[in-house]
Amino acid sequence: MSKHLSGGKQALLIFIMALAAGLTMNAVSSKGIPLFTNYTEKMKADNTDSLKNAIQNTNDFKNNPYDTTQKDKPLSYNNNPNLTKEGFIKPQKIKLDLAKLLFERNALMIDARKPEEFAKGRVKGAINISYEDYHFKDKDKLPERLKGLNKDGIIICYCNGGDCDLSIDLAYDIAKLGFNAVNIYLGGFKEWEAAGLPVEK
Amino acid sequence: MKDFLSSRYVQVVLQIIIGAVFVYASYNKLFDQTAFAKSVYGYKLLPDFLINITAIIVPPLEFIAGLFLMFGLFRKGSSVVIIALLSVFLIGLVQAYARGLDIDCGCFGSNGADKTTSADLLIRIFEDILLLLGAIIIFKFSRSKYYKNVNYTDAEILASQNKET
Repeated sequence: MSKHLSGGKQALLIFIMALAAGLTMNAVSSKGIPLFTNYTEKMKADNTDSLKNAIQNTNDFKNNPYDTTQKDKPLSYNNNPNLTKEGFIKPQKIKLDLAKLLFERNALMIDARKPEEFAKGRVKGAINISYEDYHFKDKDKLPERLKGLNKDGIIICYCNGGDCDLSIDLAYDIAKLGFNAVNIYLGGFKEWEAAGLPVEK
Repeated sequence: MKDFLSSRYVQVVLQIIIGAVFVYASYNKLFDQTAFAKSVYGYKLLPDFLINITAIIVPPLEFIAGLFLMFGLFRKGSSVVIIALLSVFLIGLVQAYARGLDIDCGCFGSNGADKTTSADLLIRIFEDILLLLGAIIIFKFSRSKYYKNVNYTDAEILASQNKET
């Protein structure tokens, strides 16, 4: 059949076959993606200045998710403008300054990277919930992993920083389970370590 | 030289090697669009709206063009597709190297975590150029007269050559 078609037409045919195959496979794949994602928006930090000021101005702001007895609601989450149509509080994308402040006020740090990377070095006291494992392999196990935590406690997800968006995707999974104060520290472990903040191995 | 490059033996060997590399390279990416989209994003080359569609179409494009080339089908078309892909990859790799981007190559599938070092990048660039040369030789010197005069495919030609030796 190839003798009837010019090289350009052959290439076009291959392209069309690949497009059809690609769209089909993406639709059926468990790791499929939307046709379009606004990455610039996704990777941009939220404006958290007012939240930062509010936290700095109070001393008794302690929101460790492990502490199920504490009553204080995290400040910015009353009448939260981040409440989505789907009924969960949208995770906030924060920078180093606020991440450090929340870390000092006992926020729970969650490392979204793979266990191997977590083992090599992590934010001090962080727990490991690998997005790859918990989103794709053990999706049902995430609620189990977070069981018993205070839903209003402040959580900070992070990964490597830079282009890494594991933390963003994990944060949304967690927020959808009803956690109201999920944050994403965009700078990630690299920036944290470079800033000389507490790490452990 | 031209005769040598257009000889069946050189042509078939190149087709099989390059085709196989492409089929192999596509294999891990075909089933993990999420990871490959992240690799594509890491190159910081494409506008947002093209990233996901690229991640969706490139793996099957590699697979189909590679498979066709391996079996000597649509040789002009599949070599053109492969030349186009390799050229784009080359641009991506060279600019990532020049800008010192910390990328996950995504060349033979994305592992998500492990970053490609700049020494790795140089190897990938070298590989890309070699493959590109091979694909250009196929495109430029493959003779369609095998198909006009002889009614068997390259796989059959190769099989008959193997029998003779």
